Amino acid sequence: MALLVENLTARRGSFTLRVERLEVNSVVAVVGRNGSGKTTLLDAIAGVIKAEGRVETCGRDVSRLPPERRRLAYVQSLPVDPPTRVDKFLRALAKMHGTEAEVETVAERLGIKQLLTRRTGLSTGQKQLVNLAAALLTRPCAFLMDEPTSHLDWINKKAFNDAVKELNAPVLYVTHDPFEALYVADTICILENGTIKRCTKEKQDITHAYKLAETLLT
Amino acid sequence: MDSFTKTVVVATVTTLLLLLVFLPLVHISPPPPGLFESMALTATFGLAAAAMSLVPGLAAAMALRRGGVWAVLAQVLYVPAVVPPTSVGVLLLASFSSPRLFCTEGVEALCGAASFVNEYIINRPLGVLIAMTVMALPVAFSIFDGALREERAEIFFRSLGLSGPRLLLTLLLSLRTATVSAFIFAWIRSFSELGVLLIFASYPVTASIYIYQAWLTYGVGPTVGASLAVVALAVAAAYLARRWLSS
Repeated sequence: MALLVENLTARRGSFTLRVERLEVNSVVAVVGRNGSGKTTLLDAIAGVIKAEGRVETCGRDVSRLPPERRRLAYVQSLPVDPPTRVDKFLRALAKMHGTEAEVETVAERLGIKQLLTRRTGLSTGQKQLVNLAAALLTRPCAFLMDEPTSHLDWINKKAFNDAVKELNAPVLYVTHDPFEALYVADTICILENGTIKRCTKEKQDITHAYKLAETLLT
Repeated sequence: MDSFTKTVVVATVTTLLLLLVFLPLVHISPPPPGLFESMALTATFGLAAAAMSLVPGLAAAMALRRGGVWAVLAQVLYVPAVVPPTSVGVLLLASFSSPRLFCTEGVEALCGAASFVNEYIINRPLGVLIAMTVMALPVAFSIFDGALREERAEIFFRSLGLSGPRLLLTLLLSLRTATVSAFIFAWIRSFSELGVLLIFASYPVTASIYIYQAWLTYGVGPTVGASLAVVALAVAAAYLARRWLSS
């Protein structure tokens, strides 16, 4: 089991989030409106805010561990600037996690090889792919993604989501866009007022709609 | 921008330019010796103080985001910005004078510390550095607090396994716009500091002490040039920083 959440309760002000059980072994999208508790859910799982309940990653209970020891790579909606030149940043991170040999492969897989020597001037979409590459190099048990495409234009959004689909890794993907959820995820869960109402694996194939949109914009 | 807003801006800017530049020029006369030295000294100590304020400022801003007791503790960094600087000066002087107090009351172990403070801190270069760093901390803290509110960079890097000094360094570099802003504005702050320096570290003579002493000794005229030089330097640094940061 890559990520298992059981009896999770977290509070943010007067808002309370309660999740009985959530399993993430593939790309699971959590869809909900603004204020439904999507970010609170990810923050609680990542250990950023206090929560009661059990969070298990790679078969290990990490509920009491700080975020840096949970092996959950948390990609944010607003991508973070790499601290140094992209290749140096990725190599330093890879060295920490014993994945130095994978830097080139990951860069090629995500289509960011041409960005490796860049330090500044990256677009938001490029930064988000660099963030994803950094996250991949840490070999996490699962990815947490909080509306990772909300600042990207449609073409970059599709590029990012294609990369997510090809990760072949467990991802808990939070979005308010049901079409994006249908495109990227295998399982879709609906979050309302801090509770997961239902999860479904029955999804419509909207790949053709995405392809159609892409032809309009390129 | 509507015409009312334009009128308010023009009126405010004109008033400030009149009060802070054009009217004082009527009184200008050559400054007394020591202006250049005091400016150079302030610039040098200001650079060191600004650099020293970055890591604690960032760490406190991160603690503030954590909430609870940590947030309360972090707010202490605002104290030098919200209390009168003379109070900060008095409190620093009292703190650094305490080893002498205990030494005279028979605690021999503190006599060494007391003589070190007298010899190297109060009214000495190290004292200037301490005073400027204390006053630079709120600047760095507030800028990093703003940056971390906008970006959740800390969470991202922690989830990648970074912690401790490595996390702080990564954040300083990633939030480089905030880091550079904090550094420059903390440096500018060192030119405006008088209250703490006057009480705790009035020697070697920094720009604000120079202006104050020149005004006491020679009156307004000879200090106008020095004051305008400080204004020009601070405005130029702030302008260049803003241009560079927005490019």
